[in-house]
Amino acid sequence: MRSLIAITAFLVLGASAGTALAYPQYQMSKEQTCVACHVSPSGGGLLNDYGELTAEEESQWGGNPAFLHGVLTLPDVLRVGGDLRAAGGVHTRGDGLGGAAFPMQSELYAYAEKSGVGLYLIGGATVEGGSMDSRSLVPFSREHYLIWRKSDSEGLYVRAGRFMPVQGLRQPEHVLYARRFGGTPLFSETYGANFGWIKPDLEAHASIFVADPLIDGIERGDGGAFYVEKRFGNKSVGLVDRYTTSATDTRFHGGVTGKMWLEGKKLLLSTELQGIRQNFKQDAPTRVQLVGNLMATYFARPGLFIDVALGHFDEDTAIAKDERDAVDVNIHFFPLSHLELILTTRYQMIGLGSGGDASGFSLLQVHYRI
Amino acid sequence: MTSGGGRCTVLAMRHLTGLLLAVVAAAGCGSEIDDRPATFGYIHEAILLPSCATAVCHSTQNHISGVDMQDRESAYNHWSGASRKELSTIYAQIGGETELDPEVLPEAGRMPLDSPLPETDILLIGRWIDDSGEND
Repeated sequence: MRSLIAITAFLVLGASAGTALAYPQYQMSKEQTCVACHVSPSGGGLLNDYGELTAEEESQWGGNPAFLHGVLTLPDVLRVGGDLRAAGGVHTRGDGLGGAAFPMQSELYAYAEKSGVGLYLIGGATVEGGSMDSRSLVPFSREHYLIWRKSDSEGLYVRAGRFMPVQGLRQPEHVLYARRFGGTPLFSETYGANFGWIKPDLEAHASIFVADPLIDGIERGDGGAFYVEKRFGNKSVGLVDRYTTSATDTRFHGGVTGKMWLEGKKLLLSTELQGIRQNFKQDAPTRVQLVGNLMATYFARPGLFIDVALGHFDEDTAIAKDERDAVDVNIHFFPLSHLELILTTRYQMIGLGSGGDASGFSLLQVHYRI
Repeated sequence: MTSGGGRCTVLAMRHLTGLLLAVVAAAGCGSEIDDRPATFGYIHEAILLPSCATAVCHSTQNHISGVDMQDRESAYNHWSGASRKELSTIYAQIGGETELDPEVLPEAGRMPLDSPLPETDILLIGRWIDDSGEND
């Protein structure tokens, strides 16, 4: 039984390994853009000065939010950070209840900039290998790119290197269907170029990319992605476009995003919906997929917010009872500026119960921001 | 008083709501007859790649448990062997009905980890095993 739990734990690592992305929940409820708090123009990863202050303000008991709690003073041209994450809990996949405990993330970030030109690096490790006793951690860099930006808060930017093509709401929970099946699953970063324009009321990002020529990455296609988001006070509307072509298929994604911040109710409503058309380069019918999430985030008080999300994924609209529906409940608690506890729970059905076994999990994550 | 931008926003949100309802309404639509090709090429592309060849699981990069479902040849090597689906260990592991003793199944349990496959996909894979089991 112990070995079963251990194996399950290690394997669930694969399903749940996370990357600390931004919290789009703070967009509109706190700031208008991702770059208000993050170094990256698409959000996620390394925080800027304001992002660190926000981390302090939005935590229960605060604490010095700077890198290594401010023990180390870095030169102005350099920012360094990182994320450590682990989780444990229970799951069911239609074969009874199982336990799991596993590391999720160990990554360091560095950004150096001079005269608007910067180099962004993420260094970490990923697991590789065969049986339990022969697995090893190997170095892996999800993102590394050169960037030029007009300013660190808005305006034009251009970058080239390895990064996630910019599209949609960029939710950190990669198990949400809009990410898992919507073109940006975990580790689907590619090499490419990206330019964009960011203002408080409007942002647009265009990316062209090729599948990683150095490793067999999750994204096997070359293509492009475009995302534009217009904000009207407490609301926003966005458009998603993505095209990829590989040796075996072509995929076209078209979709919309939307957000609405209800100040009085401390509630943020957000949605991302996509239609995906996949043509196979073999004798097989084209399939159309639908994927989407609808999320309500309630900000109970500084340091505590709760997401309730509905997800829908129709694998092939021509086939009955293959669609998945999920309810996700995530409780985020930030006791300290560097520490986050997340209770994440999912219940998932196939064909509304008639197309396969239901499944789910409940995991407590501990996230320490270096 | 509602501004022009505000009216546009309200309209956009209504359209979004409508789109979401359309998506939900689409649940359960589609044919009960599965006429997708029962070939390994299709199954690999349409089912195994998005469901099994995921990050830190059975991608080529991570090949956990020595299983690479991303590379077609490698994936086929893991699936080939059983002449009938009822004798396939891996078919049992994805939730297919087999004649195998549960004790012989891998300890890792049901796959995929993050979501069982729809019954329609399991049956399509079973049909391929029974039809040919070839890398077609």
